[in-house]
Amino acid sequence: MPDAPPFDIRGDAFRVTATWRGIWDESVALDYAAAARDQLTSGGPGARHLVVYANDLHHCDILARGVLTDLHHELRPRLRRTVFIASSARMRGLCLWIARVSDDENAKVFANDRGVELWLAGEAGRIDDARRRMSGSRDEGES
Amino acid sequence: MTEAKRLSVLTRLGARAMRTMTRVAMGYDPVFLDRLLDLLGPREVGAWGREVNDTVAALETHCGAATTQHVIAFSAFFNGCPFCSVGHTYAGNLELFRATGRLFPIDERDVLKLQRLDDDQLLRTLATKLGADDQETFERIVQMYELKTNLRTARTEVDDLMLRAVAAWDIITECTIVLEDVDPATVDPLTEIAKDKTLQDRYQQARGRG
Repeated sequence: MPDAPPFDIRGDAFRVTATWRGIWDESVALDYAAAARDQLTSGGPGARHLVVYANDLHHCDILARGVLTDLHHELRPRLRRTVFIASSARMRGLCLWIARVSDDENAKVFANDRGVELWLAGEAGRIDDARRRMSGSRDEGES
Repeated sequence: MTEAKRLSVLTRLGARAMRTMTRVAMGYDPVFLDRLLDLLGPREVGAWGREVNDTVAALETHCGAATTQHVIAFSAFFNGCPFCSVGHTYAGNLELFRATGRLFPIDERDVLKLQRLDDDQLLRTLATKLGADDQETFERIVQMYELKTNLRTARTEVDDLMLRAVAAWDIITECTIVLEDVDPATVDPLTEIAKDKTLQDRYQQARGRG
């Protein structure tokens, strides 16, 4: 069976879903960025959710990370909310780094699907959400 | 690459002063303070610190000092933070070593390798490594993980405290951007136990690094 491609990205007027796999270098990230721009540059500002599955991403080199943060920074005004889902701590760290460096308060990282829909439907930013949870209330899903 | 936000001169000076005070008072260098100050502002950093101290103290009454540090370490660990996960594991390991003379089965210098595992593999690895002596710590780590990932609903006082700790370290791990590549051997234990250099020497000797 042939290897799965390093990414898939598809969507509709409300949500774009991307899956990242394998080992990424800059050239893979640039290919992904082109595909993501195709998917996401249509539609109005803040129109759609982006859901990224990074469960099968094993490595993303430093140049690829740069491409991904630049891309997310560029696309952020077009997105309503973003979710990254990753089953390893290392990749969650990478996703948090992308969200943080691209200054996207509306992006959050999850270990699984639980809490994702609640987050997508919510309004609070990631850090405000954590502040609220720290003071004892829970309403935008856990990380 | 997108440039990280530049810290103002005032923020840098404030962070430097607070880092110096922490080094003197607690024995470790809170290298994350610059970004935390930038993120929350000085007043809120103070409130955050007080809330963290209260939460940690309350957790310690239920779980003990060593297990509390291990739970906090894994709360940061699951966010992918290489600094707090190592520093709090080290603090927990020192607490355990001081109280029992025993080495925790997870060496703080091995923590970053474990971050590459997916969560199922990681929990299986911990279940294997943490035997009967550390069963309670294992169960507390799993409890925190299940709360953090919505696999469990908070029902007890400890659940609530753990969720507060999870939220506190969700905030602090926002500084991951400055700590991407960390040499675990350079990370201090991230509690006041850092002041006890004799204990640290004994512990490192027991690990075969004396």
